[in-house]
Amino acid sequence: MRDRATRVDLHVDLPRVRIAFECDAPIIALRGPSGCGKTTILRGIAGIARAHGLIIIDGASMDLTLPPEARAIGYCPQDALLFPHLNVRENMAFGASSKVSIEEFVDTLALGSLLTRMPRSLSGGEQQRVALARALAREPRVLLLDEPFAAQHPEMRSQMIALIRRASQSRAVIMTSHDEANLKALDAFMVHVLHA
Amino acid sequence: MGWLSELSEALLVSAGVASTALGLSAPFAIATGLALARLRGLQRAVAMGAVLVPMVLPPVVIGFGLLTALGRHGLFGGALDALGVQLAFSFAGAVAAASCVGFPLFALSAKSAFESVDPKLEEVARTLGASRWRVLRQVSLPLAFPALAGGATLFFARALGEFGATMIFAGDAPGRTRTLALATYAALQRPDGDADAVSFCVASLMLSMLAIALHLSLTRARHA
Amino acid sequence: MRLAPSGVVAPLMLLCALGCIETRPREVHVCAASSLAQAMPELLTRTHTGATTAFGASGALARQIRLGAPCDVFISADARWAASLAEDGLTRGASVHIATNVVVVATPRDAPRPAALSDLQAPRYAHIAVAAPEAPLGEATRAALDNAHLLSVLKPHFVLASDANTTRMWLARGEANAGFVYATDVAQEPAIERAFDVPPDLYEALHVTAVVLRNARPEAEAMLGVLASQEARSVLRAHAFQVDGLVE
Repeated sequence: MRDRATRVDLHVDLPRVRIAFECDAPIIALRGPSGCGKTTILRGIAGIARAHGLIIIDGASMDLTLPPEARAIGYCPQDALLFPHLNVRENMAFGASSKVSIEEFVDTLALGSLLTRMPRSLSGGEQQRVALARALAREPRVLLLDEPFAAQHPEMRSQMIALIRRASQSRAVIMTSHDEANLKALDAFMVHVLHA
Repeated sequence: MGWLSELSEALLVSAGVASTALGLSAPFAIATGLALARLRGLQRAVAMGAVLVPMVLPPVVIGFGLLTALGRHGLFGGALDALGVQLAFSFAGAVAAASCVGFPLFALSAKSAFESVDPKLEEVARTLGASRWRVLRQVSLPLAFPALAGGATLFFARALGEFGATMIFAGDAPGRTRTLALATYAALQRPDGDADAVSFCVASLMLSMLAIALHLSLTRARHA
Repeated sequence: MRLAPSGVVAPLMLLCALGCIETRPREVHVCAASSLAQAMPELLTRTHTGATTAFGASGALARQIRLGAPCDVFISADARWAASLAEDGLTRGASVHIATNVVVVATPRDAPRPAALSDLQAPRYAHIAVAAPEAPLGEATRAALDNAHLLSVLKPHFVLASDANTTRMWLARGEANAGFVYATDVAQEPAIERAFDVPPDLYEALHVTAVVLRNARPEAEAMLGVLASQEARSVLRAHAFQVDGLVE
């Protein structure tokens, strides 16, 4: 039985946000009103916002002195933030570890026809899916998703839910979302972030 | 010596000096621009001041400065002599003069170029496992490239037009340091030299337009 | 943060505007070659003449005059600029040869001095400052060396300056071991020393020439007389110009 024990007690320095929770679930959802610091917490775990404290995910402790590139994380920001000078395939392959196959994500996320397109020609939803594939391609231990469903059509959502669930079998997923229904479908452990 | 051969000689010197200066200065100017973009507070203010100095000094003063530092009796003149390096009154001297006056333009353009790259993109790249160096190579530099090319063009144009510092530090040797600007000055010292001066000016203009055309093709928008 | 309250800016702008208003000088305006920069004020005082002066390179002054600069009298370092203006009908009356500038070989102060042109072939004169051939000084230098059959031998050692001022400056700073400058340059620059005069038969003399310009005020002709007077000549002689042998 995989050890899914997660314990987080994190102080992010700038902006100042504190969060503490414990659970045993593979998928954790941060809930809360806009501006309460959910994105900041994800950035703190990713290492792009300076933070101190304790992070144990799936039984393994995360060294908070490490820079983001040394952490086994994959971050999918709310605004996708695709590299504008690279096409879709190049974006997805950016963080991919050696010979990881991106074909799986391509099919599931319906990105096949977009591979040679440039990010600026994609819709918001398409960009979001490319960003998800890009993060997954890194084969991280922790997947951080900021509002992954925000720009998606309902048809796509069920595909994404299946993909995230499959991904959570071998890694932890910490995400934010306003969508109750999707989070319920994922059986996510809810953490409510209150504005301090 | 015929007018045409004088013209082509000066043209080659100008193009050679500006290109050599650009090639040698580019890495330093880009690195300085990057440093300026990343620095904050007092360090940034001091660095900006240092970079701006050649821009606010009259070129003739820069020429004197170069002579004082690198001339035969200059601060480093003895050291250069010992190494067998002759900078003053040479092509290398013209390159030095051009580099001094062009450097601030390129460095400041580079600073803007790097500042215009969305730092969030650089952050995302790091979350994907890219080291700072890889982020610079594969994200920051490619995205900053059009503006960097703009800085290079500014440098080239300024180097082409450099006169005062070149005259004082590099001298006026035809075929070696007589740039189009110096050739124009020389032509104007003769009562019958107006026509020649005009032709040198036209040549300068055409060289500049070539640089602009190159700049435009390099910076054609490749992405949003 | 308000750095320039309107109380400061408005008076400043007014000052600038006032500075731009041209007032016609009430005295004769003389535009003279730079080599006369030190001699002219003394000359005007000794001859009790009132005039305003402007100095510059002969060629630059001539161009300004062509474009309408308000000069009454033009004094050029050599005859050709005055002749050029006369050719285009911009002058009034004949030009007057008021002095001759002499080309000399000079060295930085306290440096070894050559005694004759042939001495310049010695290894110690590795760098010889020479003006560009377009400048009158450079033309005279080359003609002299060519006539002395030393031009091709010494050419590799030339450090080439764009004009007389730069030549003098390099010599003063010790960037060259010897150089060809005007006698008047040596008089003006304490950091250089005259070694010897270049034999005048080797080059065409540089005639300092004064001429009245076409639209000059009537009093301008009198200035020519002043410039040719005995007092003027003694001042010019003191500043290293040659005045012997000039017509009265």
